[in-house]
Amino acid sequence: MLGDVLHAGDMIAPAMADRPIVSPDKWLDARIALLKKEKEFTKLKDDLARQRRELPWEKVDKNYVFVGPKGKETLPDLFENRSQLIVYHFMFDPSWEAG
Amino acid sequence: MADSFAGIIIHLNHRDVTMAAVSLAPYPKLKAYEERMRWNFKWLSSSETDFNYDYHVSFTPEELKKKKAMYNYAMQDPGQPQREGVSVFYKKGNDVFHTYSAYARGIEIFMDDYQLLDLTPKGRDEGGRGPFWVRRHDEY
Repeated sequence: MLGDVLHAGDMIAPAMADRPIVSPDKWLDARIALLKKEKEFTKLKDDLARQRRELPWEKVDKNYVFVGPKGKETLPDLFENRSQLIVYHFMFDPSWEAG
Repeated sequence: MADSFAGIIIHLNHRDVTMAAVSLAPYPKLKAYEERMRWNFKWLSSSETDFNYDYHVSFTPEELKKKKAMYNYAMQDPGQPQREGVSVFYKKGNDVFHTYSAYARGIEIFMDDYQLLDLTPKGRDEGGRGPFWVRRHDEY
């Protein structure tokens, strides 16, 4: 259905169906009902984050050497003076000119 | 995605977190692209190590030909020679530990624009096609 009106790469979206127009009281009721679900989700998300922090660790024994603005740097070097490192795996193939 | 995280690095840095982007392409290519996008986050090349292969975000020509490689904790067709992901490491003394990795939709946390689009009536407006609309910020 969407395929009939859209072509890959189109930036313009199909018309969105309007939602019911309701009184402020009804709107508030609907919003509060969703808020209940949002709160449940937030608590689930907190719980998931806790379980993520509780995952076991694996030791990195390989001596990885990266090349950056400061020349060669090892994985421990990347931490600078901090104890936690987030690596974003940025897709950039050697054959590409842009990531 | 890099547009999203560029601004938050300073805040992470003050919470004992260093943030780095790593790509397989050689460093001069990263440097040229970084200048075009006017980014200035820490970005390094893993062209001289197995890092990208070990963390399952780069794939060999053979894997691509067979359409079978380990990505997102499953054997599947990675589709492209490079895929997206995030990995977290912890350093204690001289030891480094790998604590977390996520791939595919697991990295949506990086996309501030998605979190905000999810608040609007039209939402992500992708019609099940995935993030077809994403462009480099100088290509809109």
